[in-house]
Amino acid sequence: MCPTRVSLSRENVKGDFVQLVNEISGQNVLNCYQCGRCSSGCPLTFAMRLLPNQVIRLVQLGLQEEALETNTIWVCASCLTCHARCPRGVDLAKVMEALRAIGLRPGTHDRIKPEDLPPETLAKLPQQALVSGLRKFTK
Amino acid sequence: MEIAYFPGCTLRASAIGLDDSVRDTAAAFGFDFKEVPDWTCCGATFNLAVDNIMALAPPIRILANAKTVGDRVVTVCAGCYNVLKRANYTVRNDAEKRKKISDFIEMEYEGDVEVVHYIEFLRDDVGFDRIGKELKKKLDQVKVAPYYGCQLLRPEEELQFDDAEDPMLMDDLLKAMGCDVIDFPHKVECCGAFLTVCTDLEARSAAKDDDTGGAVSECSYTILDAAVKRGADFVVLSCPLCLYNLDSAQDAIEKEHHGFKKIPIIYFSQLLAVALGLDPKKYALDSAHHYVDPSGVVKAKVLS
Repeated sequence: MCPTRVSLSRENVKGDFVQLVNEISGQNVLNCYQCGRCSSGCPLTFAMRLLPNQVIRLVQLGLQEEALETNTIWVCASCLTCHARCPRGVDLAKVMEALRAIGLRPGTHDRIKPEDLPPETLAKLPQQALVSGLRKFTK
Repeated sequence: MEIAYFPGCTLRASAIGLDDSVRDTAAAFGFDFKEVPDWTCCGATFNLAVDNIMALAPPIRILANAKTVGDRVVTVCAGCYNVLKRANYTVRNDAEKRKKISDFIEMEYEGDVEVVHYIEFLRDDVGFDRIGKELKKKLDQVKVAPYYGCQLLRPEEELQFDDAEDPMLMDDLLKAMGCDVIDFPHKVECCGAFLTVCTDLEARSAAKDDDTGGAVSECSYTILDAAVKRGADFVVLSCPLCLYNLDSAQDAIEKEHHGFKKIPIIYFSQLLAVALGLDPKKYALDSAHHYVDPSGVVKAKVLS
């Protein structure tokens, strides 16, 4: 499912958003030439509303709102298969982490709350799952 | 010089069978690991935001403490291995971050401890040939699917564990142990990792609106189905999070995919411990520690 219409502007493309994503991720998203190899190898695209390369395209175009509201950035499990295969050396997992960070850092939009997890789930999850999950989904 | 050992948070709790089997098999080969003093959780996932220096403090503090024991630290949890090794790589290559972290934790650390996975230790310090000779049980009837997942392998340039797309290290260990190792195309594919915290979320969570919750069982199905169809008796791995996901997802998979056959998931070191003739009851190979009880297959294929 793609956004059917986006509005492009010089302000967005040259705006702070691309710069901010590059700073937090340590990547240059403009290096991506949209070959789609990341999306073809991603094991989680079945759950994503936009493919990874489409999210990168939104970032390249400076479309902050559209990039942050897709579920793709939350479905990405940081498995780094995309990074291992990217012919341009872009670490997409770092770009996804930067997008999550931009959403989470104001502190008002935690993706999950520990109190929403049923007690029996908390009891059965391995420590590694809880620590990594809460680090990925909360400020 | 002594060899430091970092268990990690999960190994002293739900993955106790992994911890005990590593310590006991190392002891059986004549090595006495010394636990890293004053250790904490490493953070469980390597923070990918390059401006987040705080997340590097726990793993670097662990490595600085490991240095008081020796120049190498052995770890076995794939998550811990990934976090410690990437944090080490970062301080080795970034002087500014190194200084900031050292100032913060009030310990000097230059990245000079070597992070070693237990499988690497078995290859380099024990030797796969020796392992094959010292086993007390024949494993030629045991068909195993080695599963590496993500954290042992990627990013390859930082971890240098094995080829990120076609690793053979665990295959080689299992072959040296005499197992029938199956060629397994999904051995490097992600199990869904921490997305598992979204699986049972209450309806009011933002993440519940997505498809995040069902992701782990779909990923696990792809991996397990490939192993089952090739006739594997076990999937063998080294990550407690992968084990939990691949193991606990099988009830949901069975409901979703008719004809799916369940398969037990165990740690490579549990199999090694049993094959060395150590008491199988000591290593949590039971229904209390697994959703799919491995004890029946262990008894039939390994102990008989």
